[in-house]
Amino acid sequence: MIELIDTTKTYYQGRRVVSAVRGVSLAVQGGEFVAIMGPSGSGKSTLMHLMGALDTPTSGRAVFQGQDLQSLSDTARSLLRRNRIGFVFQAFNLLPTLTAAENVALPLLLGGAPRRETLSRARASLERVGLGERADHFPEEMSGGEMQRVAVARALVTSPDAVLCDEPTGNLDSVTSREILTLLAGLPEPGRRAVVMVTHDANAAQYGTRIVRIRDGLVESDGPVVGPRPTA
Amino acid sequence: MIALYRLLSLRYLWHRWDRAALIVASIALGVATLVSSRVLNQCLERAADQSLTPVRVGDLFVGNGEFGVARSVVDDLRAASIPGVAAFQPLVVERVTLPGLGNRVCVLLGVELTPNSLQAGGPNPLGVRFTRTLADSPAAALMVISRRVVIVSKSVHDGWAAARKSPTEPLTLKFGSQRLDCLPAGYFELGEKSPLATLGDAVVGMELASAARFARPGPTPGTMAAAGGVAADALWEAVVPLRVNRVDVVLQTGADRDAVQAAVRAVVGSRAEVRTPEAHAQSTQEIVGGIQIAFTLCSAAAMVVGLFLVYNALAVTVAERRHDIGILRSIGATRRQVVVLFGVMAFALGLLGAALGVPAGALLARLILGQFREELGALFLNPDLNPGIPSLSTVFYAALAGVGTAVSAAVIPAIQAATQDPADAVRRVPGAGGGWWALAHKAACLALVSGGVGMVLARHELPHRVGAFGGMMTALVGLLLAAPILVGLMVRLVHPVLRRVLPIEARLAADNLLRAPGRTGVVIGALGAGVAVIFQTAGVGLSNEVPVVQWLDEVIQADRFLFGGSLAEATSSQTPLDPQLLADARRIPGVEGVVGLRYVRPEYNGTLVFLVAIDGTAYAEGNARRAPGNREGLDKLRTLTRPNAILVSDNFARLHDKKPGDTVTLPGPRGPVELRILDTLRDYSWSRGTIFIDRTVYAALFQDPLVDIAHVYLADPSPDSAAGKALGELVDRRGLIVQDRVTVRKFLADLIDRVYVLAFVQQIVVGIVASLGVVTALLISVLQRKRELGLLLAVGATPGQVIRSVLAEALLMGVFGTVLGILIGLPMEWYVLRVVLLEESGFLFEMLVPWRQGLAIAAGALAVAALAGLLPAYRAVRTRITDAIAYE
Repeated sequence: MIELIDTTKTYYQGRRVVSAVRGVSLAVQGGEFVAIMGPSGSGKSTLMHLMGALDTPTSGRAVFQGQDLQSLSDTARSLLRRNRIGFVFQAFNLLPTLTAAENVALPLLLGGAPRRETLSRARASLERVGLGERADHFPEEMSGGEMQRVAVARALVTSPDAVLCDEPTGNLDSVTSREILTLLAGLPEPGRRAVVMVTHDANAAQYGTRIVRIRDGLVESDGPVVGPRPTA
Repeated sequence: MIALYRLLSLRYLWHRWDRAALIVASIALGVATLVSSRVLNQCLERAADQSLTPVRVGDLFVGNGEFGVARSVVDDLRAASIPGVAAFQPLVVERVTLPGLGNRVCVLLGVELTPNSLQAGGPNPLGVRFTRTLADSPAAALMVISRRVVIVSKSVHDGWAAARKSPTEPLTLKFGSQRLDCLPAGYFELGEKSPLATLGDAVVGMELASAARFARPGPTPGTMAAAGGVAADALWEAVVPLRVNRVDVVLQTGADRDAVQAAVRAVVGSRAEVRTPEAHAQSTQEIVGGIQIAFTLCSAAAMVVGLFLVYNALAVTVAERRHDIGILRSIGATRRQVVVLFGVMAFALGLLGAALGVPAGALLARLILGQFREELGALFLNPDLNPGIPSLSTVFYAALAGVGTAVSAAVIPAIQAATQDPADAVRRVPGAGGGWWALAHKAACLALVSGGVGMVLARHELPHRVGAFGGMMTALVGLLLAAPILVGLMVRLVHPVLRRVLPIEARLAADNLLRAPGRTGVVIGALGAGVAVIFQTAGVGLSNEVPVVQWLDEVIQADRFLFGGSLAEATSSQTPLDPQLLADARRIPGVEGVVGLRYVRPEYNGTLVFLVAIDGTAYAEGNARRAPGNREGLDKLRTLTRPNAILVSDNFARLHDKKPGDTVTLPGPRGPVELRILDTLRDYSWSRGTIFIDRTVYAALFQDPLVDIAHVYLADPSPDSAAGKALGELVDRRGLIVQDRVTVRKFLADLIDRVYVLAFVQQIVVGIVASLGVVTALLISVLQRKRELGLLLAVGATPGQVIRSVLAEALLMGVFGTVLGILIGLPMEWYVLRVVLLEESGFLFEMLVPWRQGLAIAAGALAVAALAGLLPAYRAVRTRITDAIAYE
């Protein structure tokens, strides 16, 4: 479903050249829950951005469902993100001026769907993550866990083929983290939907089906999760 | 998709209502000045147009400025049987008062009427309702014979009917010192589409010749005017050719206007000008063009300042929402959607600003017009100047300006927002910042400034006023756009000194200015623009006022001034006096001298110039006794008694490229009159130039013996002097007015003051727009400095220190804005005085720098900046430390 082939990513920080990803090849299949682990600055978030068409590689290829992301226009990549990829970020990244339902409805609204329909689908998505009653609340009225569940609901509202999560539990306490990870662990659908999660928390990684370790922009190890999956 | 934009834009504005309110207020004020300028311009243009071309019935106009056209021209035109002409319609239009109706101002309209048409049953094109039989009394019968039967508009008829004590009481018309008793035979109602509607609701219609004689009574005024009648016509025509204001040429359907114009010109010769309505409108432009440009420039300045402030606010909104934009982009928003999102937000703000600006502008226009109602009313035929409600086109332009300003201000920030790399925005990595943008910015500044300067330099090759005004505005926009660069340079220059001398709070503020010149620079530039235009106005005002007041002191030396109407009308020809008054005044013991002056505005060189017929010798003697200075000018006036000799003002010589020895040809009652220039004279009466001629010479050449004002010199000028009292009794008997020198000077000084108040009112609006920008910038600054201010509080800074830091930033912005404003204001003052004013009016003023006013302006700018900093400072101390240091 998602494939990185000998991918590199270099960018400038001021005058300093940073090689965040230095020749990574990686494939993620539908039904997988891949945890990408690594210390700070190892390039794991950049890797996720490349997989999610948020960024394009400096060299090599990033392929999503057979489509070379580099060959797509900016608009086409936007449509891909809107319709086939869902994102969950560490800092939740909800718009503070919108209610939970409106935040969830955003990808649908961006697609031009009627407001009433989008809100109805957004509420359904919120129900799925257990937040049906908080649909009309603003982010500032919610706890961290609730906000992250709203972010998950937003990621799911378009029924995407991939859900990409960047440190989704980084800002949460352990109890809430377990709730969110359990929620994410239930998302992969064999042959259809994959979940990729960037984390530096080994416990969180145990919720996945596969762990990819990254160090200094290179894949250090790649293998299935060993041991039983933690329970909620 | 509308739902999406409404949700994202309006919800954001609702949450950031304070910033949205500031942007809306900036736009509303800019739109208000635009609307007020347009409303005032349209009102003045309408009034001037109605005064120059009242009762527009023709396709071509034959006219001669205030001198009028000899009636014989009409006879010649009719005799020529020019193909394509349906009719020639001579008209007399003058402003008279009705003493029996509380001196109500009313328009006297003289048209060709047969005695039949003044009675029921005759031709009745105006739909007159006849109210009496003209033969119902001997007095009425006499009035019919002497052609003093009139028809009046309904409001005049109703007033007269209510005020009269008996059915035979006449309606008295007063024109200057002359009175004429008339008998209204009926009334007509002025519908909105009537050609007379532009004259207002007070109109008296009279037979053409009677009206012409009453308005231009000739050398034996009282007797001839009073006699009137058919018998007097031939005698009158022999002594003084009858003159009408204008002759309208009505064309047949499908006639070739150019061919008819050429044929009419051939018949008229040099006795009058033959013009199309469009060419006639040019004269209107000549009169009100200067005021219109001043208004338009003020509103343009406000809009430009508003544009930059809105740009600044939106640019910072983009910076503030960078993370939101990243979120949107990460979940699939396209670049176009991001651009449209900001466009929609700007559109909503612009529309709201325009909606508030339109009524505010109408109110501003009403306030400004209220200041000058009397003076402007005296200039125009219909004194009831009413700005009215803004027209649909004005509302349209206002909406376009408001929305256009906001949307164009949003274009660059919106494009910048759309080009954000979503991955960077989501990660909160600082944007790459654009070397390309910086280069484009510098190139745009350079292009605008050099383009503006180029337009100024090439102004003589460009259409009139395009180079001088357009160039100035273009260069100013360029300078404003370059403000961040200039401010960056200024701050860099003084930063090392500031770091040494300022306390820590102010030092942090100075660092902040250096760190974000893009944000603060635009606001400092806008504040500088406000200071610059106010400083420039003060400078131009001072440079004008000092010499003009000194000149007024020199020329207004008489002890008493006699005139009809009001002081505002005393320099117009709308309330002329019988010259007999001068002789009567001279006979009063204790009167040393009496000087009569007649004012006329004839057409010359395609514009209206001012002609002053004066008793030069008597004036020179009278003034020389009271003010021994200015001998040179007075000696020149003594030479005026030579045949066909004139003096011209310095500005006349400059504008019309004339020098002593040259000739000036004016249209006279019997053909062109050639006048020779003896010398030039300092005079500030009229912006298109003034001609001085001896009154006796003028009366003979132009067959106009009337005077508009009399200057009287008394042996004892005290209020209780016998001569003064006798003079008072003389004018009382004639229904005139007498004023002393102090009152006249005060009136003129007040008038000058009000002109500058008018200019300042508009520019203060620019200042307010700029100060709103300071508030916006500081609110944004507090947001951007949230982490820094939070850290300050965390390490032990007191709320007072934080407040001082924010206020210090405000004051530094005020200081830099003031310095920048004065640096731009000084060359602007020079440019306005030595280029704009000199080329527009020919007046050459020495440039005086308004240092004292400059200090007041600087104090005002700093006070505004400090006040603008209060709200942001309050916001800053309410910052939660934990939030602030967690904030990226």
